[in-house]
Amino acid sequence: MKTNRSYSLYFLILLSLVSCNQDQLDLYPETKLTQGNFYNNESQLVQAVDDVYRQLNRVYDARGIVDLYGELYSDNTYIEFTGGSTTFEEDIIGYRIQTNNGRIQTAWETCYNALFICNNIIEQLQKTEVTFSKPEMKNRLVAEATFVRSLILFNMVRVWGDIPMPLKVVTAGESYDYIRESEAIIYQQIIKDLTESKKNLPAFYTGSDIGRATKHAAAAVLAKVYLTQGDKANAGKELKEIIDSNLYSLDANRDGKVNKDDYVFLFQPATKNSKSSILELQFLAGQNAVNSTYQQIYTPYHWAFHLPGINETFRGEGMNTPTADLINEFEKADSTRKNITVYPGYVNLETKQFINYPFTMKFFDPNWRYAGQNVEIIRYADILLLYSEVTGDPTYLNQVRARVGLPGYGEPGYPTQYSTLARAIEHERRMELSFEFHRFFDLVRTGRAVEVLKSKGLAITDKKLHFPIPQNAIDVNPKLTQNDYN
Amino acid sequence: MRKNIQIPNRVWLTLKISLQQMALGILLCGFCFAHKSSGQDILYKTISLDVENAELKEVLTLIEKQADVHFLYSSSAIGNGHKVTMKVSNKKLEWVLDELVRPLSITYVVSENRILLKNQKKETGGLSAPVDVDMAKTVDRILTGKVSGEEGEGLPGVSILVKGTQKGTTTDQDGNYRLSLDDDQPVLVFSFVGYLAREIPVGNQTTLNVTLATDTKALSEVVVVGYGTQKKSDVTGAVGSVKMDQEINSRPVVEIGQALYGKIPGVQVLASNGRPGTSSSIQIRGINSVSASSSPLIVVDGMPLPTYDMNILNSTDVESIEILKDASSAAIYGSRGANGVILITTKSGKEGKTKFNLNYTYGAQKVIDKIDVMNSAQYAQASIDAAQNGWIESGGDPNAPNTIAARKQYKYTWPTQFETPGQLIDTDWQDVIFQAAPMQKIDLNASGGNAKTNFTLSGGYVNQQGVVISSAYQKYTFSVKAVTKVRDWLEVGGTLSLSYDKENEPYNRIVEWAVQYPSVFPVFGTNGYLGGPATTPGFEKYDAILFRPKNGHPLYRINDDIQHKRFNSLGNVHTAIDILPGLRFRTALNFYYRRVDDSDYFAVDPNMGPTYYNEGSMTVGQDRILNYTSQNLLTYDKSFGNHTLSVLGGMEYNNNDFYSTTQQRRGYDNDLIHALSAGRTVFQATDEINKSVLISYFSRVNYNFKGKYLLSTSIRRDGSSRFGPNNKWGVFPSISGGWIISDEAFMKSRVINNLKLRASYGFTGNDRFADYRWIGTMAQGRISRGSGLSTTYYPGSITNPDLEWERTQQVNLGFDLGLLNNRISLEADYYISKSDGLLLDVPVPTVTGFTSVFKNIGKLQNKGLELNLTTYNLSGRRLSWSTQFNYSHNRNKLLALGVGDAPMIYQPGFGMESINKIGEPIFSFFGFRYLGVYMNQAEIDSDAARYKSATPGDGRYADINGDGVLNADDRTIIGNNSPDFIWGVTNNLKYGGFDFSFLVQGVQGNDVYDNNIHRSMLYHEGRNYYGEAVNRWRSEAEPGDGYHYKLTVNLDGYEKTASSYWIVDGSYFRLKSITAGYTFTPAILSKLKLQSLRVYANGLNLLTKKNSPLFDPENFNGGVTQAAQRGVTHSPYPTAKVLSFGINIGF
Repeated sequence: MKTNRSYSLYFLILLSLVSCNQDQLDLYPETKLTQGNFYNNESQLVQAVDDVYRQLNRVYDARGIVDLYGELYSDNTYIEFTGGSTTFEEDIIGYRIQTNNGRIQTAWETCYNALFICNNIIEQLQKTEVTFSKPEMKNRLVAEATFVRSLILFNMVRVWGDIPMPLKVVTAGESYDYIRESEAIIYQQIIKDLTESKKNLPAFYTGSDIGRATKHAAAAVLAKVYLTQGDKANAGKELKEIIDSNLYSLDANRDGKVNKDDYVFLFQPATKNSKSSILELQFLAGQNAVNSTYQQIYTPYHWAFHLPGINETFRGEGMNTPTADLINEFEKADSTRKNITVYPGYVNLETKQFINYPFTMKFFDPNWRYAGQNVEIIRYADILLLYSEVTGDPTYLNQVRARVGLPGYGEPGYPTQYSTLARAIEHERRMELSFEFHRFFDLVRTGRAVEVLKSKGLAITDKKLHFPIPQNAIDVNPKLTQNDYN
Repeated sequence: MRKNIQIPNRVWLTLKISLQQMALGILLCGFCFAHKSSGQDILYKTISLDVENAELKEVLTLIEKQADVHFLYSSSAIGNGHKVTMKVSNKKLEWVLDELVRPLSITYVVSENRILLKNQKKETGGLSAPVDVDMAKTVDRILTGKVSGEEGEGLPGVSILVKGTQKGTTTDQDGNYRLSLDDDQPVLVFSFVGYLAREIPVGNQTTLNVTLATDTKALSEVVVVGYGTQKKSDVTGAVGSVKMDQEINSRPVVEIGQALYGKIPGVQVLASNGRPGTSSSIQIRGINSVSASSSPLIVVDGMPLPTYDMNILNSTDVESIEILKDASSAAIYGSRGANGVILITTKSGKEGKTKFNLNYTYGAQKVIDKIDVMNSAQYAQASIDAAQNGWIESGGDPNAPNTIAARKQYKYTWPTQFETPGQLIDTDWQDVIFQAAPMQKIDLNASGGNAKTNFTLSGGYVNQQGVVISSAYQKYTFSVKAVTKVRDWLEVGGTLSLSYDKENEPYNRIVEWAVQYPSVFPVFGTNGYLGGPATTPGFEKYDAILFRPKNGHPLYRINDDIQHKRFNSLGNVHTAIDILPGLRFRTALNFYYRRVDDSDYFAVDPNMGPTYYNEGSMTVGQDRILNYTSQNLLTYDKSFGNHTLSVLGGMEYNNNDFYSTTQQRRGYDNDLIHALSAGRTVFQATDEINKSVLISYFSRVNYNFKGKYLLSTSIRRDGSSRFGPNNKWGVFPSISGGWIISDEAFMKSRVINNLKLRASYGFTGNDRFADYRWIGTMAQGRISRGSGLSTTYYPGSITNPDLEWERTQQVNLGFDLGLLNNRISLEADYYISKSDGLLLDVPVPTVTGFTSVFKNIGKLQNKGLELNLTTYNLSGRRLSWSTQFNYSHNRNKLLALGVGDAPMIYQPGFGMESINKIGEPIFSFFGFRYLGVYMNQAEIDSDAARYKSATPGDGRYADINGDGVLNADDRTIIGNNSPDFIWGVTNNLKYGGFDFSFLVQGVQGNDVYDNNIHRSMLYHEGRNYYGEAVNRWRSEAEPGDGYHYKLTVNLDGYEKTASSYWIVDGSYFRLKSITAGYTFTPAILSKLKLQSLRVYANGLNLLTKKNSPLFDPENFNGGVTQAAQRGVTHSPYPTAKVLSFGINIGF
């Protein structure tokens, strides 16, 4: 009996101790990779660099900072109806942005997260001991990430002016020392980085690499940076390099003819990375792919809404409704561009009543739920128009007009109200590029924003050319100063 | 109940009885209250007698046989030669005893099946000479001695019997006895209520002094504490206890949390919503955490559960619930104790005949309230006002005709039908979606045992429809528990508890839509499609402007099919070995398995015609948790002299394995098959695996000196896989002490019979957040190039190897006071707790790439007061009435936050912001302070901080910083959901077999964000307005109540911005429960051949007094464990009121 009891006891104590190995406390995720075991070979490094293109998509997304500032804040678009319980977008179109505007805050956070991801992979590439399959590969990857970082910074500095500029992975401890750098310093850095990237980026890609940043994309951004700085000479050099490369043409569909079809071609879901395209956001249609959401976000906030030719109703989100002012600026003969840029409304399928609520068709994909149309960021027409701007030579402007069958500047039939080349380019850029996030940037660059918008009754002032810094950023780091937005 | 103890009007006559006896009486009272069946049953047993001139003793023997009771008495007590005559049939024992012994000044005390008879005259009249039982027999020798208690005090009235005979005596007032013996080897049985009986062979002795040990089980209520039990009188922490039988015998408690409402101070119970089967949300002593869960740890029969869910057991299987509120009692649970611990103890079988118990309840449920919204005429007028005001603000001519030609935009016009409001349809959408819903609950339980083995077996079934159409619920439970002593030193046992429930959930916005959909539409319009602008003649042109079916018709998602199936299995197997006297080793393997199947079918056809067909989708999710805990405890209990020591040492290994997977298909052709297979395309298939391990060592020492100086310390060391490598282990000590002052000689008092002071201090931790949070993971992204997809990787979070638990330290000071034989008892506690190392998503400058870093920083303080008062107002033999009142308040304050203590503002996306700010309560609502309406232009002009678009009738907001400009800097704290105080009052009345009880419970001073006010005021979507907006500003001539601003289709001011306009007072009090029942008398029961029979009626939530236009201020949107969501309501599924009838049969 006594031994029985002891044996049972020993056995049970033994049993209870079996499970007590303390190594069991070291558990790691089983469905995710961790930072400790990544960046170990070339393909992982490429996968990490690829993410910078996803960041580009985020920064240029509908309601991203480029959209809010470039289109919504301009005279191109407004909001008729939208849902939600805040007035963030309405405040933007009303030029009464509060410092706690949630949309702008989110856009700010997205930008900095994107910068971090660029910086992180640049650092990983710089310190990696991986041997690459091709010697130039590492430099190219660094250049791709640096290019994306520069483009994001370029947008940010135009929207907010002075901003904190992280160029490496910044720890929480260091982050409080990152205060707003002057625009001049930021531009210096952007020019330096883009010049360097340009050297290491190829002129073109083949196969599945098509869509990555090229030397010419870097040149195009660089040209815009110079132009924004007022440096027409350097801008002109970069633009000329692009034009002279002969890689690009207005003949987007490569049918040997430059005509209206080429404009239409640009905004079709199947036509990706055309001859007219210098930098595009890459999307792919279908479920679980990489869908573009612009069309749904930019269409009427009506439940009875349906897209042309599609008898399924859905409610859009009511963002970026074309203004009457934009619609009216299209020349009579410019139906090609007008019909794609604005669609007048829709017919209610139940009541057969026409609803006058215009929306854009630039992002239309018949596979509307899971749309896959690529989105143009920089295309050849943009380059040509800029080149006219720096050279004062309307030839390039007129190439763009001729493509859609319109008389050139200085030719008979050209609208008389655009009496100077500058006004003609301003008009042309609006007609050619609206909804592509250029308008407000253009007006600010040319110093025309306040004059143009005021004349249309919009409550803009000089102080409102920069968005306020999100209040939250200042709350977290009181060393940041605020823009005087009044 | 107290009538069993003493004939009440004699109580004061017996003051000379020693305090010991009084204490005994009081404790026995508690004992009887805790086990109300025992004493009560005996006195209700029926007796038939037909005796003439019989000896009282003989009569008592007759009664013993009939009623299966045992009388204890000394001959001296009942005297010799009393002859009685009595002829009764089927009278209650109580009545018979009163008739029989009262004339003889004999009183009786009942315990279990023993009835002790005492002669008052003799026992109070000085020394009464012990008298031999049977003088007739030859006296061999005389035995004398003294019977004493553990502290040496003489025990009066102890029954001494010679075993196997009726011969015996009782002790006198000093505990002395004298007994003549004629047997050679007699064995004496010493028994006394409240003490453990002893059998002692006399041998040849002539003097035998005996010490009786108190029977702790009988003497004192026992409460369950971490890893053991404790006499309530020894408890030094703050522990609340609820005996389930008292709560659930009378009402259909499906979910256990329901039984805790208004019962324990410091414990707030909230029904997050009224969906059947939803666990209630419980908060103990305020919120201790910002980011981690603030839900208590649930421990079922020693098994700590990995998830919070109060609905995994059948409430009828539960014996008691104990809540460890303070840090010292919860510290033994270490890193999981900071939010308090809920200990659930299930029922065990008891020695005796196998008993069956059947309980059946049928109830009818109805929605607790309806929200006041505008009727059609009011809505029409409001819509006209809004269109007209918008038109005027846009610069339009007020007298322009109501035509699109004149006003250009439809939003500035209105359907002409609005001008004849009497002819409008007036649909009450809340009537459309709410239903009277039946529910039934049936439970069958069998339990029994013998000296070595006991068991209990039970099954339960709940079938409940919800008060919202298409809502239904079933729950099946089964449990078994058995323990057996294999040897006198070896015990083995196990429990298994299974529950399976199944819910059909209505789409989660159906109630919100029913509140907000305008009454001007029919339920079904043209073509039988859902009623809305397009299907209501005359409204077609307003299809884009007025609220429309796809956005908010309450029946829009009625064809959806949303189901949840949950299977829970938990239990343990255990073995206990008594190594040495007092030293016991117990090992247990506890297991918990939970499997949840969710399916959500989104219908293709919403009854709106083919152009409104949806794509259709089916989402199916499975979660499973396998959790096991290996637990090894060594306990040592020892008393020596005045010292009592109880030591616990233990180790625990806990392993949690979570797996979940979600699949979705889209593209359904029709609504015929609600299965994944019917969808055309696979949309997603994801999974998640989370594992965690917790290894713990812990110890506790309880020591008391003379039973009145109490000391307890505990320590636990936890190692958790959740934390960073630098901080995997944490230590959680506690100490507490108590002093029962009333046991001191100087405190002996007639008035104060119990006074105990308690103080405790301890540390607890909170590890309730996601696994692997310290590890920086690589997140996956996707990009495309051409027609290909590639995966990208990016850092999704920052690695923090220092991540560790949140730690809460708490001081608790309290006292227990019993007055007038515990007729009045008060428990009071005051506590201060400070939580530091709060796990916060600390905002960091965005240049890091992140908006926040998850780390231990920040401090939070809770302090509060808790009172629990119980009074026995009447305790007559037939009529008794007791009242329990509790009150508690908690004040919560943030003491430190992240770097620079910057406030943390949350924008959860539904409009209202919340803020965590130093010096303020956690999760305060943050926005503009609304000051009422600008009544006229002069008021606007005189307000420096007016906003540009303000016109008369618009809202006015406070310029908090006084800078003359209204902007984001003027946002301020405009409310908080933490109540100022909570309270509850329970009254229990009994008259004979009837009982009546009611519970009133209330919450005061909590603020609620009413999203209905917010959303219903946004005209452009055409929602109905909440009722109070009838009193809005319409013009200077019709200014309304000065609070509700004018309506307009052009919202350009602050109407869409979070303000105190959206905050309502969530205070309420309610008649939570009211019960009337009848317990049948033994006379009837014996005819029915039943052990017990009770019928009752109960009303739940019948009356609520509240200030807010909400269904139930308790309800909130969000999970039951999401503290930040409390006080945020978008009209979730509301609570029900229930009227039920039940029957409880024992056989």
